[in-house]
Amino acid sequence: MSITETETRTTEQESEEKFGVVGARLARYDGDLKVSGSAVFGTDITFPNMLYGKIFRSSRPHARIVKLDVSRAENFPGVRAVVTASDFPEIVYGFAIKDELILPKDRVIFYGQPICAIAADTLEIAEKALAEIEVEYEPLPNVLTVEDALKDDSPPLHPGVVPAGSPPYRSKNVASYTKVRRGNIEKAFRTADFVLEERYETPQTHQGYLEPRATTAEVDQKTGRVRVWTATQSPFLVRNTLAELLAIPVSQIQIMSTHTGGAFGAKILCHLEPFCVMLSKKSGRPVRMVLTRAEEFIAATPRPAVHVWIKSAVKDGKIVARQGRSVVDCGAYGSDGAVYANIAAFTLQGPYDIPNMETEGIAVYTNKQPAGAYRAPGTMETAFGVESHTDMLAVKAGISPLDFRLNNLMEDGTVGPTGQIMVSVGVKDALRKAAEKIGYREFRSRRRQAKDSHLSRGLGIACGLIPTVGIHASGAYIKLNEDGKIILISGASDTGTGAVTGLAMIAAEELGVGLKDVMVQSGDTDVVPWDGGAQGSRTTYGAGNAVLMAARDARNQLLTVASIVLKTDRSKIELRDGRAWIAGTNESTPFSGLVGRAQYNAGGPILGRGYFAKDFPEYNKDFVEGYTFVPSLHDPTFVAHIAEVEVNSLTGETRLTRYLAAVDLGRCINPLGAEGQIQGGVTQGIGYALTEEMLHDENGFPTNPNFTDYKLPTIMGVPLIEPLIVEGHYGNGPYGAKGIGEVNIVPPAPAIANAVFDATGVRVRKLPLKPENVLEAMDESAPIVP
Amino acid sequence: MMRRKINPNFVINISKIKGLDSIKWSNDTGLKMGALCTLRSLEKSKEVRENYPLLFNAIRLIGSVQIRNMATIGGNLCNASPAADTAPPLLALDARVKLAGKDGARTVPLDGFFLGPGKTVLRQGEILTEVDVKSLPSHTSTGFAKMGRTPTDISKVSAAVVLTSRRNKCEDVRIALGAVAATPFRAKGAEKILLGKEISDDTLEAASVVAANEAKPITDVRSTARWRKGAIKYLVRTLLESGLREVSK
Amino acid sequence: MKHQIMLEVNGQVHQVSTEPYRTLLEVLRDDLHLTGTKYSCGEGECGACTVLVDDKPFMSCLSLAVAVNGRRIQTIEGVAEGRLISPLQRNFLAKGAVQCGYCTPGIVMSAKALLEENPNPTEQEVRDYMEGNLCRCTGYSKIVDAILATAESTRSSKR
Repeated sequence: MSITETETRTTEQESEEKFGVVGARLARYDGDLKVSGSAVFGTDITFPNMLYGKIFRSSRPHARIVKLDVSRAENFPGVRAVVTASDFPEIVYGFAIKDELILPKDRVIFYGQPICAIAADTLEIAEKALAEIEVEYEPLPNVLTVEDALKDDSPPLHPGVVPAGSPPYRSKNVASYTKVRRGNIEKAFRTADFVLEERYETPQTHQGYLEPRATTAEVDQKTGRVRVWTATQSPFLVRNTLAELLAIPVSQIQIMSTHTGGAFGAKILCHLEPFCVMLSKKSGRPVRMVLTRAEEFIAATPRPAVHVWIKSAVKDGKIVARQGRSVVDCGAYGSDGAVYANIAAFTLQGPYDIPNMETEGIAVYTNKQPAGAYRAPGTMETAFGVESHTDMLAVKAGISPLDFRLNNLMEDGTVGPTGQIMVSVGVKDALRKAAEKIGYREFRSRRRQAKDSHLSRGLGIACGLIPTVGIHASGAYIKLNEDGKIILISGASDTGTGAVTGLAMIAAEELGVGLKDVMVQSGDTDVVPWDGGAQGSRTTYGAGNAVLMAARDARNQLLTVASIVLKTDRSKIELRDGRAWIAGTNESTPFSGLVGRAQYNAGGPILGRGYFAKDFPEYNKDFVEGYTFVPSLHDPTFVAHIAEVEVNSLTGETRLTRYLAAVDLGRCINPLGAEGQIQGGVTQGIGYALTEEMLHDENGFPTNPNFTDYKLPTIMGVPLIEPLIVEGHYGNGPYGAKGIGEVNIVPPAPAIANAVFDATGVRVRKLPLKPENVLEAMDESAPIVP
Repeated sequence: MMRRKINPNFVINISKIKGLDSIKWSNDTGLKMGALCTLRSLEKSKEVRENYPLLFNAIRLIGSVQIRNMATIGGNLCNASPAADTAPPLLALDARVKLAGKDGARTVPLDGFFLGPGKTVLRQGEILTEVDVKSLPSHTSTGFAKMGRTPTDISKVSAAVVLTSRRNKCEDVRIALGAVAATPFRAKGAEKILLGKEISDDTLEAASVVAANEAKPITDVRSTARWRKGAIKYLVRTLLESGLREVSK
Repeated sequence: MKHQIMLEVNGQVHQVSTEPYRTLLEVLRDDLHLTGTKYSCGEGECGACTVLVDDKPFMSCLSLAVAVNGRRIQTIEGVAEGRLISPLQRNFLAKGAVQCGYCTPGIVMSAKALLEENPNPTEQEVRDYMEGNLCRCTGYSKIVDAILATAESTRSSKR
């Protein structure tokens, strides 16, 4: 067994179920296509008469458009269409705050904002034609920092727009407000042993998916029907948003997901689709648009910078009160920022039992590119503050970070941020197992002996939780072909996560076949049932439950037909290896026969139907006010990670030498896939911890919009990530599974920062932990002896 | 050209010129590298690895295998980035470069070849054809180190040291720094501190401080001037110390 | 002004007519319709465009097509033999080294070249060789596993 294969540990409550397929390490079902280069991605779609689209972008962060003249571009040889704001319905949109325009008429509010778009015979012509567009700006004052945005008199980016959650702030640039209040923090602060107040800061970062956004659209000139091939996590959400923006019926649009080269939250809603559709409508030809890497950095939808203020009261080693605020710098549009701020208000509690809470999440507008979802939005940034702060509380309490956490972590029955009762909580189990595996206590006692060279080693713990987002529904169908093969028809998406392979495994499990006997149809909104998309760690959980139900329904139908064919009561029939067997005998009949019989005269074609739709867990409305996209947490998944670092105190360099990631995920559908998600999420988190930041100069212009200077983790720079899967604290997903798509990106930054502190006594409160920042923190502080 | 920024009337593919990609080494004449030697071929060359490990160590951390299969030593030098990683080792090795043009050939020391970022002494119509490095005397140790945001990043700082010492006395020393000035350069002030003197903790410290002062780093998207100064001091000190340990074996 | 060049790609000879400023990546994808090789950064930083030129990994986004005139090029489409994927590709699937799959063609090309140059690499040698290929999904551990497993199974099949 290689070192990256998991040791799966279960609790005493392990179910006695034996699985045929679920739990096996199986290769992804669409792997052959990917490994041979024949998978068609958004960037690979071509049509013979296709046009190439390019966007003309603002070169100012905030300015009035005094003049826009596209006539020279329109007349440029080879240009077939140009679209401006007047080509689109006048709609202001945004799922949380109505502050977005597809294209501006009078004002640009971020550098890189699309102003108009061109479609031409070749990419080269489109690029040349961009230079023919004449635009004149009148600069307006920039709001570029959180401090500027919070000033009472800060010039409003969106005058007249109603913010989300009624923010009690004078500044008109506060886009959203969420507040959680439980218990009595004043009393708790008064009677505490000590109170600690700190600030932490995280930067704007990019999802870094390798495939740039890519969309091709074709509007049928006769019927007006819109067909779009696009790299997306959620074809139905793209369809519905597109329908809203173009003011056409949803059924007029067909979205086809291509294979998608990574998304991590960025590819949930529309981005290029409206431009491609309108250009196709105007030109009468299909239009493909692919962003360059520079455009991806300049005008995509990154994780926003977040400033965290956190204050805790501790008594007898327990956190008795938590006060805090996360300020999300959400850029020019507020809807995604509002979600970050909402979840941040909850994340300020962390995975801890805290009886008295008063926490806020607010989003503020700045003249920067608008934030978008990025793996664990609202959780990851604030968790850097919370988990770093937890170690500082432990230090002040004179207790080890491990024991302090074991004293304070949630358990079944703990009250969650908005009053829900937490269930299926396995975080202490995960932490204990992680600490044992890495030898936490032995390390700390051993390490005190070697301390005089400029290299020192430390261990850091970070725990976390993330809600599986259950707000979106899923549907699934299962049908069988005449050769006995299973067709799973699901609206779920797999942008690399492997979750759809898990869905196929669930179907295979229920029907007694192997994974290779299941074919998956997904991605075409005309054909597959509704699914909320690959977001919020919801696919295994939500789509998985739908598939489970559909598979059991199909199984039922098969049993009915089998009882007719085998002339036995259905209770005596087993489905195994693609056949129906009379239990305890060698008598069987293949699925192909059952399908044929059903279609002939026994119930009609076999079609299993399943669905999932679930309201939020019960919570107390008095505990939360303001904007709540998420008022309580569906099945949270918990994590406990431990990082080992070596720090050079002369240069500030931090080398990650070991990383262990324990995940409380209920039931593991496919350990091979789960490990991949764990290792991938951790590695993205390592980039956030050590090297990634989107930089701007004082005028708001991006200064590192490329991979040369925005540094993703590389294969030489990352150690073997050791996954530790902890089963047994079953959630409400299929077979007790919980979602793991996002949660593993949450701990690395604080775990590494805590390890740096453990090694050097220096607390770095700003990400990334690049040598320059670490050395600066070393110069500014007197080391605290751990 | 590929970014459509320039559109020359003619481009000459010099990779077709025969004989410019050979690696020759002998203990007497030292190492001669044709300008068109790919970085990868130098990396894989036993002669380079065994006789000039500082150059090997610099090359192996440039870019990636793909980049090293395409990039040449001539290209790395003539592009004249202040952070060119082959430059500090070659400067510390007192390299000389052969240039050829329609007016004939000339040989110039690499020290002085760089004039500024992207600028060299190459005249219009000249190409670099060969890089020559002499054999190293006995009792000589060499070292190269760089620091970047990732292992093969464009260097934030880099340094190369060639140290000849006998019985703890420095007979010769070359210290070359990269990414901390308008060009890669020899820290001659630091060298002077050590040359001909007894090597001690104090002289090593003094030399590394002087080297850091000779550096004129800037603050840019990759790092800060302040950090770079400290890092140069650290690198020079570390390289001198390990060089000393190696030579004393 | 277009130049006529000859490229041998995956064993087939192609006459290509192209402007001199076009990259090998553009010619492969747009002229020869071999879209397995990917564009991701256009500056040689990510390796998604990796192809083999005379068995050596190159960044095709940084190679002018005219500069590789006459050379022997292999892309991901040339690695499998018909429907039979190579042991390396099979190990990528078996070890879970593929998630979104966008980096996979470039990674397979680099890994193939690595194992041809060094059939018995250590883990460090694998990581050093593969540094020019970024992956955002996997965290690299399983890519290393797949390459080492292929080396191991090639060794044991030779015994």
